[in-house]
Amino acid sequence: MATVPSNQTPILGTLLSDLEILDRITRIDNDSCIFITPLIDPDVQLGPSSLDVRLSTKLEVPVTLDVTHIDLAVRRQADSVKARVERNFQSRAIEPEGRFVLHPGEFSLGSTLEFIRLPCDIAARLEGRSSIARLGLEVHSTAGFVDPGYEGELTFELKNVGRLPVVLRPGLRVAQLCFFRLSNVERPYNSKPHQKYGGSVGPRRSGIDKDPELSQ
Amino acid sequence: MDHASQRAVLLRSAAELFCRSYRVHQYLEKVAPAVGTEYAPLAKTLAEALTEARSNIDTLSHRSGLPEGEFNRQLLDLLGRYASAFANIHETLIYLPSAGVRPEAIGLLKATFGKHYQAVDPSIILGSAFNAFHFDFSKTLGRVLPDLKKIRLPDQKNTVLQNPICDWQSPIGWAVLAHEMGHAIDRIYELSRQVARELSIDGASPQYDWLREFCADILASEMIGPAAILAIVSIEYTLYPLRRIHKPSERTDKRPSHPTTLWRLRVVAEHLAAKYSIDYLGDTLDRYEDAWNASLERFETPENQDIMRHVDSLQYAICAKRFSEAIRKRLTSELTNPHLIAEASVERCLQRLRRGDPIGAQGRPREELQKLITEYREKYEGSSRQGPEKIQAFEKLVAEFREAPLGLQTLLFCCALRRDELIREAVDRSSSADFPIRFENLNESLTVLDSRAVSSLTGNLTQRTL
Repeated sequence: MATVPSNQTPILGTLLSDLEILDRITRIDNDSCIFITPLIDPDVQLGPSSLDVRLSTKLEVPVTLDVTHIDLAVRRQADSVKARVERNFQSRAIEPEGRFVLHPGEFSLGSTLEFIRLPCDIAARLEGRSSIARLGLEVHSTAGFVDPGYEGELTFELKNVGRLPVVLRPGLRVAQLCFFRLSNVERPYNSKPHQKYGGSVGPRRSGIDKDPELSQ
Repeated sequence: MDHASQRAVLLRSAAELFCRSYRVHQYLEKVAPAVGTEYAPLAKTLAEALTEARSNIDTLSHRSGLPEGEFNRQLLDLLGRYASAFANIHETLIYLPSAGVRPEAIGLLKATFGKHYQAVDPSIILGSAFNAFHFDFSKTLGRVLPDLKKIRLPDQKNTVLQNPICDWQSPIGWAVLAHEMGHAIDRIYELSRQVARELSIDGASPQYDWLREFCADILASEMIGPAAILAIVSIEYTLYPLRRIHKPSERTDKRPSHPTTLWRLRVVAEHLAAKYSIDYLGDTLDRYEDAWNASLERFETPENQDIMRHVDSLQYAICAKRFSEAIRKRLTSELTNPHLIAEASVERCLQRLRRGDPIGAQGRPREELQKLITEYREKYEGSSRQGPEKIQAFEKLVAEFREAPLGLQTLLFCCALRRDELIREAVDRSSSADFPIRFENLNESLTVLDSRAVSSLTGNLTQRTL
């Protein structure tokens, strides 16, 4: 996709270049600024059209000892689904200088170290870094899209699909964000009814119980 | 003091009490279900007890037309009962499994106290007493098991620092641990003992207890900045209706006498001003003085009030001021930490926190970076040549975007300032009729602030390891 200088009319769905990402980070007007912090090592993190993000210290680890299943086929059972989801995960915090191991086949929720806020005319896509992916570590299965208006730390769906355990530490660059410019949305993420994950600090467990299909 | 000023003090106390109760509710929702269904009925009972304890205050707000003085009197009475219920319910949290101290709290103390943390090597726990403590666990155990002394290992360190359970997710609340670390460091360096010898203070007197508290406060302010004393003030406001804050506390078997928090605030404010020529605590002092005066007026006759103000002023000059000057003279470079809280930095941080953004790192202001981008664009945009000069210029531009970890004293101080701002706004806008609803909204804002403080600290501490 061609990049567009900032003084021209925005084109729907344009991928931001490195310079455009920097420009958006420095916008004085908060309504058009991409806010992202901490930006620890921009010369390493900034790619031609992406920005690497790092792993934080907080994890949500599945615990399957006494939860037999999570039934999404029921209606009006939001409380029951929520209770099972809550029992299915355990919060763990790793020390900033610590480490943790993701064994083959294991799944955990992690989050970005960076806190991000997108303006209403920018969407983002979270992708794994290929160097990490080639070791068998996936950082998301479906939750790669970040809506305009989102603010918070992004949740990673960490899964080791390789054959060897992978040792991870807070601060590791595990993913990258690409930013897309679009026309201003009518209903940004933080204004959406049933929005579940806005303002997140740390990984968020599934909020599936808030889906209208389960609560109505 | 007029009724409106009295009410402002009571509402400040109510705001702190409501906030802490809200945190206990959050703790009960989070911890009990996570462990198992066997704790759910207990958690439910405690939550209901807390809600019930508050209900009378909500009822007061519905009574329109009460004269101001009568409203204040009833509010004080109800807040006293609520504070007592809160403190007792908080103690019963011992029956629930503890969530455990967050690693960020430990990381905060390690990063600010450095080698002193290693020397003390404390165990940090969450406790059910609504207070912060430090104690030597082996001594505590030795009192109940005298024979333990025979088998105790000589080099064993047993310093325990305790933070109240309700502040488990609040870095602004964790700052109180710095005061407890101050006590532990004082024991190692014997600062208060040296000053006591110099000033001929009797080790069995309350004044010696006060000296030790001032030592701990000053050491905490050196290591972690003004946030430590602000955390103590917050705890005081929470229990304000139960206390006579215009007097030093009594000495008991379990607890030494504490000087008034007003003295402690003044001592820290004067210490930071004397050493670093900055006034961090002026506003807080002014408002806490109002609370002190309100307490004096409530419990003492008008004749006694003037006498006690005069005596307080004299005692401050003879004890607190003299002690703190002596402490300051003995602070070696090992016990001090250059304060890097710059006013411009504080203002930028406050603006971020007002927007709901974390403040773990700070780089160049956006205006400056925008200028650099404009200069780069003017020189290179439109040029299709990707020569080394252009690439070098771009790399130089990118490097300007690096954010450095914010000083932890600044980080905590700004979070504490923002907390104070939110509470003051809520109190100033509240009327007798609507303060419970306003304080519910305030609780949500304070919860968001706490989460941003945690995010700030996590990012900051992780960045320091890279």
